[in-house]
Amino acid sequence: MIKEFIRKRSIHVCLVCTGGCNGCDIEVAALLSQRYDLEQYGIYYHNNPRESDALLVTGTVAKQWQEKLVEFYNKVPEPKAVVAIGACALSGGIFQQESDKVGAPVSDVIPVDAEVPGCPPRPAEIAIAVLKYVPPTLASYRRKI
Amino acid sequence: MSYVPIGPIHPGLKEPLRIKLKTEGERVVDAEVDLGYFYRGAEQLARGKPWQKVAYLAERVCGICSDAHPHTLIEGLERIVDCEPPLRAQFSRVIMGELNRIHSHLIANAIWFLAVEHETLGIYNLNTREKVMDLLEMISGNRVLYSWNIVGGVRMDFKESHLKKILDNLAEVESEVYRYRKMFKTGALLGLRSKDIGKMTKEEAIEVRAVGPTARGSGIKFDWRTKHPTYVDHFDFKPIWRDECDNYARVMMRFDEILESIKIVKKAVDELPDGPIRKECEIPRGSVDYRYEAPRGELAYIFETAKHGIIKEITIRTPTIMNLEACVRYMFKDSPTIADAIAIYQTIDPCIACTERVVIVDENGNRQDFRGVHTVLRNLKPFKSKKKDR
Amino acid sequence: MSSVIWYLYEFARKTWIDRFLNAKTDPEIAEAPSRFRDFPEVQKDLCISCGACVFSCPSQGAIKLVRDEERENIFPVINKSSCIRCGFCVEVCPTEPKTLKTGENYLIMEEYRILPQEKVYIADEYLCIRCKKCLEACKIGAINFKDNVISIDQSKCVSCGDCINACPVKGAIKETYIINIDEQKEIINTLIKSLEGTINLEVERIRKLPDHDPDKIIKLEYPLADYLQKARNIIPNDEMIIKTVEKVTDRLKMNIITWDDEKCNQCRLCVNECPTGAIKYDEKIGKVERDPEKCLRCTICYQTCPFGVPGLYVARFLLKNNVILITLKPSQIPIRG
Ligand code: SF4
Repeated sequence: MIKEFIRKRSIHVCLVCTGGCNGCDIEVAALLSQRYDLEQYGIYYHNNPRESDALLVTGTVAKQWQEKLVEFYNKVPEPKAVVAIGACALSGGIFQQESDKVGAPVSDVIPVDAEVPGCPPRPAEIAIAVLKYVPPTLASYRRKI
Repeated sequence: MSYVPIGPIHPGLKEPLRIKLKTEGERVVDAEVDLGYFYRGAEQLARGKPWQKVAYLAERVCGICSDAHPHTLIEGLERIVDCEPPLRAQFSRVIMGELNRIHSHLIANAIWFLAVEHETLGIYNLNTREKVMDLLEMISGNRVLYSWNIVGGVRMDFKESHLKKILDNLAEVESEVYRYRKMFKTGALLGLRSKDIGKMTKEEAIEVRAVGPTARGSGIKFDWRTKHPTYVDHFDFKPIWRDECDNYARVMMRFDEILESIKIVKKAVDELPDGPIRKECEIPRGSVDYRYEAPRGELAYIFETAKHGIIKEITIRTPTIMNLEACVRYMFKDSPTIADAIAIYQTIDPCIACTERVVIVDENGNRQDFRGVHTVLRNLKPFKSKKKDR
Repeated sequence: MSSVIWYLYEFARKTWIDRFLNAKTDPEIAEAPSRFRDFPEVQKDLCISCGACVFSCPSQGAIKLVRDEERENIFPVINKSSCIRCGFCVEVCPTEPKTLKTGENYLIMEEYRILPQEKVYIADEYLCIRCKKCLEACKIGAINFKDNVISIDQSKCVSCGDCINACPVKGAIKETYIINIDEQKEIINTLIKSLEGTINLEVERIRKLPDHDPDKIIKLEYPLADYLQKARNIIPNDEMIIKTVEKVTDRLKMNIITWDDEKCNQCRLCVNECPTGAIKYDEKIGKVERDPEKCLRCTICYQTCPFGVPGLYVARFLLKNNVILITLKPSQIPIRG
């Protein structure tokens, strides 16, 4: 009960870049600045999967990531949420052309709860998506049996 | 002797790569880097595509120096036809390139400050960077990927209000950067974490062919901007360098370069000539090798085009691949603690998205060189500088 | 003590407690500037369905042409999840005003159209009958009629293919792929090799054709199915393969040389004439031999031989319903001497 209440107000996120162009990653990093100040919304940026509630996945899933991303996802404690950021993560974007180098979209590899389109999305769009979709996902999360 | 693996995802790293440190107690004696988490095959995608599409692809090789990549590609294409863009376009490119450099250096320093856990300066730097990002978005329409350059000129024109905003914002950035520079120079703890750590002497830097701020922090006085015709003709640019050869020098270098870039942008805005911003150019068959100073160092585009401007072969050499080797071979040696190893790694301003290139090696271990190179080097012709002509 | 608290309370109430309670983010950070390139908007009515936007999009599958049943026109639909917001489709859109819109930019440089091309359309001056149907068909005015010659302005052309559909003469407007040149060469080479193979199987029948009898012809068929499989490995683009094959079969004329050993009298006239040394006299066996691998099909031996050992036949091709029809005829070249 208390856990759920708290969890809604403080989300720890972990950023995983699986091979895009870094554009989306620096936009997430920009959220840390005082201008956007992610922490005022109760989101704490943390690059540690074992302590996080939500994974922010950016980038096309490069070959090395195709198995590791699943391992990674399993390391995140339940309940968990996944937000896919950027055109790369949603469909492969510009890199998805007759090439077998990329394993995009991310939703083929791990279940995705929210999507932020754009290349790259503006920081405000990312913050809004995280705030809007992650708490309800965490609240309604069912443990897989 | 023990091994400490760091990454691919680690609170200290912003991009996925794996560093394996060999340690004796806390002291690092050897290191190994494992890449490949970012490989997308940009060159393979570029082959057989018209240059208009390749320009968008080049932009997405790296999102931080996303002006430098298309800049190099497109100025290279212009060398094939010998089509010099109008003066206003050249000045616009300089403004955009320098703004891109300022934002890249600010985020590099911010990440270094976060790596040494000096959060105040880190977050301050990030905040100052937002002012530059605002300018970039206002001018080009996107915060990260600008699509600004095009063969024969630039896509859009500046408005009067834009120029005024550039000067206003840069004045603020300048005063703030002076403040951070002073804080960094006088901060005792920061001095402990930066001075005499991650040493790489000039000879070592030459040996591993370090480029960009990493090399200039070790006393090499070279910058490709001194050979760029626009800079030679209109801005008397001198490379900035320091001879401390350690983390302190590299971080300080970036602050100094930001100030120098601000000076260049101010001069460009003041002297921005009137006139058209674009010219018609048709790309014929040809090949070229063109280099430009990206925020992280020398960036080379070597490519061959077919008729109608279709890219036949392309090789991209990005700066971080050289600097990473310098970091692993010389800087990690005798780093006193593991925490310092991460800080050292961040001072070379690594950009792994750039680095993930591919080299073709045949069965015997010989490197297969790109076919066009030999013809290219002979054809290399920069636009003649007007000053030297006289 | 209480006065101090009172003083602090006064200070707080007056200056910042209100602001602290109503803390809000600065609205400007969520607002985009006027040049911001958002996902393009589509105005369905203006679209001329030329396909330039689909063609120019650097990210595959971000934009698609969809048919609207009610209004009976075709218009682009943007798939947000793969759109990379580059704004290139807006830049190349040829309508006036633009069908696609994004930000305030990309409307500035109207005079430069920089559409990347995969195909080039060229009007053939000799085959053109000047009916001017293509002039009407072109919706963007890229075709000019000047000095009684039709020409296509490459800087304006969006490669939609409407002119080809309107043209009543086959081949008067030529469509050429300018990308993947090397792959196209490979496709053509494999095609020619497999056609040769098919013909060589029938050599015996061909040899029996009496010379200089123009009515006698042999008809063969070569179904494309096997070849398509091979070609798809080279480049997975069926449209391009079929177009290339069609172009090749329309123009190709193959010389077939047969060799009739029984008629040979070992005069060795041809041995010296052959430019590549494909014909050799073997001392041991005492026989003239021909190596078909080296043969250039220059027909010199055919013209030299007094006994009619080499036979010359001409093969022509036609592509119809995925089958190549091959027609073999004896050649009309007279024998020298
Ligand atoms: S979506 Fe665009 S900005 Fe983001 S990583 Fe991919 S290419 Fe870069």
